[in-house]
Formats: sequence, C-alpha cells, structure tokens
Amino acid sequence: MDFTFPREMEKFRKLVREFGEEVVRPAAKAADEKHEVDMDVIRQAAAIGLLGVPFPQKYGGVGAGETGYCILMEELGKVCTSTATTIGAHIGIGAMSIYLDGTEAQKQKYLVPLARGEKLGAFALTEPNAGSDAASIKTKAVRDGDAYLLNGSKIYITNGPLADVISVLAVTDPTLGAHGGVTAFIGEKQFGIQVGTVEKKMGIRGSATSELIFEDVRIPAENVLGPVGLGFITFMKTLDTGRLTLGAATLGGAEEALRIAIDYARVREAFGKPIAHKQSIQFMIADMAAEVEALRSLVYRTAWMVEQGMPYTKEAGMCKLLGSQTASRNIHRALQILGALGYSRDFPVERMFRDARIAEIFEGTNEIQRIVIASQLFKEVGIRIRP
Amino acid sequence: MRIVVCVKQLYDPKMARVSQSRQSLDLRAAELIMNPMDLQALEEALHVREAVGGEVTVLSLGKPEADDVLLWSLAMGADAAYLASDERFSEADAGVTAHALAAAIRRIGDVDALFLGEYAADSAGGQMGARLAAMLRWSFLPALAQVFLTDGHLSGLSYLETTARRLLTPLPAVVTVYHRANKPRFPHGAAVINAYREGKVIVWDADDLDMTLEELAPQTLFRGYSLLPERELGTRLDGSAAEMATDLAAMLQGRRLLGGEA
Repeated sequence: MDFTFPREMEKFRKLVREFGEEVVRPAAKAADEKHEVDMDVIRQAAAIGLLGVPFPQKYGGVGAGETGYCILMEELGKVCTSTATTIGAHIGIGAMSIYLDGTEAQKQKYLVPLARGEKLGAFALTEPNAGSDAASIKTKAVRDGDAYLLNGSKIYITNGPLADVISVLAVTDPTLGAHGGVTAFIGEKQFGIQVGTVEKKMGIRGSATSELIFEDVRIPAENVLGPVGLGFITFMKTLDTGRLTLGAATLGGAEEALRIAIDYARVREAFGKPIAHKQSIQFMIADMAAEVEALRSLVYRTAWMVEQGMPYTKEAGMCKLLGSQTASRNIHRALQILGALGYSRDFPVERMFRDARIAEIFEGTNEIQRIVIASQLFKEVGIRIRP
Repeated sequence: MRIVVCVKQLYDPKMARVSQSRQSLDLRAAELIMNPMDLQALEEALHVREAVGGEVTVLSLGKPEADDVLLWSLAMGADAAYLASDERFSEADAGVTAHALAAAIRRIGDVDALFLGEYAADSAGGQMGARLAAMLRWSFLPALAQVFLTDGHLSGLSYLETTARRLLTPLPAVVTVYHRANKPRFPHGAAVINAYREGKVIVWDADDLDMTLEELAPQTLFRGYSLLPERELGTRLDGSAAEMATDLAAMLQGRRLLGGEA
C-alpha cells in the first residue's frame, strides 16, 4: 500500500492552492454578495487548464485524471464553494458526459473546447417533477428528419445562464420508460435553448442556476450522446464521477472549517487563556479532524478505484453522503467555536455555512445516496432493490 | 538569444522559527520553495523571450531535490534545466557557488544574458550577480525592471536606493531582476504534470564542471547564528486621552526623545 501522492500530483496541488489563494479566495465574498459568477476568475482558471483537469491532453485537458480532479475540487472547496460548483458542473457532469459516452467526432467538436475552457458546459437532467426519478422525465425529443425536436423544461441547472454546451436528457419513446425510452443529447445554447428563471439562492450565490426552456429546439441526430434510448445510463455514469468530486469539494470545506477553528482557538482568550485550552473546544476540533481524515481517505481511495477501472458507484454515493454531512457538521462546529464572529457576514464562516447546505441536496439528495448505497449493498448479496 | 536564469531552492523564511536560545533556526515546519525573487527573474526572462525569441535555460546549484525548482521553471516555460549538484558543494559559500555557476554557464555555452533574482530570501546576500559578472567579465546591471533586448543591447530601469536609472549595455550581460519587477505567471496545469512526469533536468557534478580544488574550497566558514533578541512588549498606557498624552510625553522626555519640560 502506498498512500503518498505522486510528485506531479503534489505539484499540481501546489498550483491549484496558489491559484485558489491568490485569485479565487479574494473574489469569493463579492461574488456571494452580488449573487453572480465572477467570470474573470473562471477565465483565469481556464487559462491554466483548470476547466479540463481530468481529461487527456489529446482532448485539451490537463491529463491529471480523477485524482487530479479531486485535488482541484478539494482546493477550490476550501476557498470558494461557488467556484467549485461552477467548475464542477462544467467538468464533472457537463464535459464528463461527453468524455464518457461521446464519439470521437463529438469529443473533438465539444470536449476539446470545453476542456480548454473556451466554452462552458452544463448538464440538464432535473425537471419540475423529475430528478433522480428519471423515468418521470417529461422533456420530449421527437425525430424530425436528420434531427430531433426537443420540447420541455429543465430546472435548477448549474451554469444554465452561462453554458454554451448542455448535455440534456429527453424522452424518445414514452412506452419504454427510463431504460430504453430516454436519450441523452449534446445541445448548444445557440440551437435555441432559452434561459428561464434564474434562481435566487441561499448559498453558492457566486454560481448561476437556472431553468432551461426547450421550445422546438432542433438538435442534429449526430448529437445523440451514447446509444438512442440509453441516455439514463450515460447520465447515471456521469453522476457517479460527479458525486465523487463533489465529495472532494466538501472535503475542502470541512478542512477549511477545521483550519479556521484551530486558528481562532489559538488566539481567542476567555477566562484568562486561549480557548484552545478548553476541553469543550478540543473535543469539537478533535472530532472535526478525525472526520476530515476519514473523508480524505474515502475520497482519494475512490479516485484511485476510478483510475483502476473498478466499479465505484457505491463509494461515490458514500463520498457525497459522508462529505456533505462532514462539511456541514464541521462548519457548524467552527461557527460555534467562533461564536458571534462566525455569525457575522464580515467573516467567511457565515458564507461557508450557507454554501455547504446544498451539497446535501444536489446531484441526488442524501436520501437518494442512501438508496444508491443500499441497492449496491443488497445487489452484492443478490437482491435487487426497487426505489 | 539564450538567457540563463539562476534559480535557488530555499526554506520558506516565513515558516522558519527562531529557537529559544536565539542561536539556531527551526526549519522542521518550513517548506522548500523557489526563491520568490528568482521566480521574478524567470518571469522577466520568459517575457523577453516572448518579445524577441530565443530560449530560456534555468540553472541551479543544490542538493538533488533542488530539481524541484528547475521542474517548476520548466512548467512555467523554460526550455532546458541544469542542476549543479555534488557532495563537495555541501559547505559551498558564495565564492564556491559562483565558481560552479560560472563553470556551468561556460559549459552551457552561447549565453547572451544571465538573469538572477535581486537577492535570495533566506541569506539576502545579493552578491551572486556581481560575483558572476566579475568572473565572466560581463557587464552587470542590478535591480532591473522593464528589461528590453534590442540589437545586441540590453536595457532596463535599475532601481537602487530611491532612484530609478535607465541603463543600457552591450551583451553579454548579467542582470539581477528588481524584486517588484513583475508578477510571475501561473504555469498551465498540463505543463506542471508533464514537467514532473518527464523530469528533464541535466545534473552536473564538480568534475563535469572541471572545477579545481581551489575553486571548491570555501573562503568563509559558517559558525552559527546569533539572532537579534525578540522585541519586548511595549508599555500600555491607561486612562483618559489627556492622561495618556501626559504620561506619553513624560516617558518620551525621560528617554530624551522629546525636548522641553513636562
């Protein structure tokens, strides 16, 4: 067993950490307050390859694999959850769906500019009455000559207002249900996909989330992603990697909370000495650190499993479940240790507290993650769970 | 056009702690980094290359792990990297270091300009540029910003003390780059991955550099640190503004820092 990172990964982390500290962190507060994406940060990230980290260099990526991608998300998760969300949705579900199931021609046409950061990606699954329950999708795709006409609407789409390339799931045969009846497509904003309501959010306000409206949007048949009728599989595979790297971003948030708590406990005095000397504080900090280490082990072992080509659906669900809980819990504890200072908008813990909550919800709620984990566990003993 | 940039690996001075005895430095928590001033020298050299073409070669002297600063330089865009490394350099002073670097520069060959950081953030000696210029018999331009190369000449603004002077010299020349000359670029992620995977650093020992025993003999001996005592906490004044002002005036007069009478 070897738990050390290869040297190039350590140095890639150094790059991302310095970029995070110098470029991302100083912009985080204003992006949250203005409730808009700081596109200058995204452009600077693109310029050094950070919008294509896991993809091979022949597709314009960094070639840092799943481990490098987790490193990116962990470091961004420390400094700005919104930026992690924008880049995570772009790489981890938008571009990733094309990388996983796209043809060579689709990869050249779409993955390369996405990986280079010349275009921004998004992933459109959720609808008003369907999300994890993909069989209930209402958006329809009807064949029309050498194209499909899409009608319907998608909601809560991260990067919706900004994305150029959007992977979208639609029903092609209503008689067949989720397996056989839904197809994934590569859409372009310029095909006529309209931006509907832009969400006003509690957290991750420095990312953009919106409705996307399809009214007779014509998508060429060559943009079908994966086999016709099997789009659900493409989307679920994509979400597996998304859940792992979301876990990595929550690891960053959980670590940042720990760092802030320790820094504060060292200097804040009560009853004549720093509160680091109080056991009530020590116990919270010890729990935070133990949970961070458990999460780190799970995240990077799962990344390793992906790179080995092993199945990792169960572990990805665990990364997302454990990660979102750990981040929320640690930030809650850090806020308690900081007291009123933690509650103040002048200090980043308040923003972190709001930002962390979404990780328990998006990319499949934690309840869905438990179903994913349980169904894998029962599958291992020969029982098929139906949601 | 070939520019050689000398880069140095050092312990991050921000993370070094002074021992209780004030006689030694605790470097256990300190990371090895590239001298920040050398990053600026490299950035300036890359900038010149982008303007006039040619190549940028990086050179360091240090232990084998100093290849780190060279690989990072390659990731930033340097074309080639050389490391002078030898057990016999373990006691090297500035003189031995300068002999080794000068020998390496001669061996690299066809060098038009040598860029260095203004000084090293650990020792802050700031003598390597001048020493190399003297050894190579090249002209020396210190603390330079806005470096330009035209028609076999190198020019720039030299920031010394409170003045900035525009200087021009024929090549070859040695330049130290002003510590606020530029903001070093971030390397591209793929360049970082490739540089560290490929590890293309050429290592030369003292024999490769044809160094004599005389050149290898340090002229100075490091005997230890004697660091300034820690500053003591000041006196805290209490009371109303008027009372504090009166107390302060009395204190300053007591130390003969203020004229007049209380």
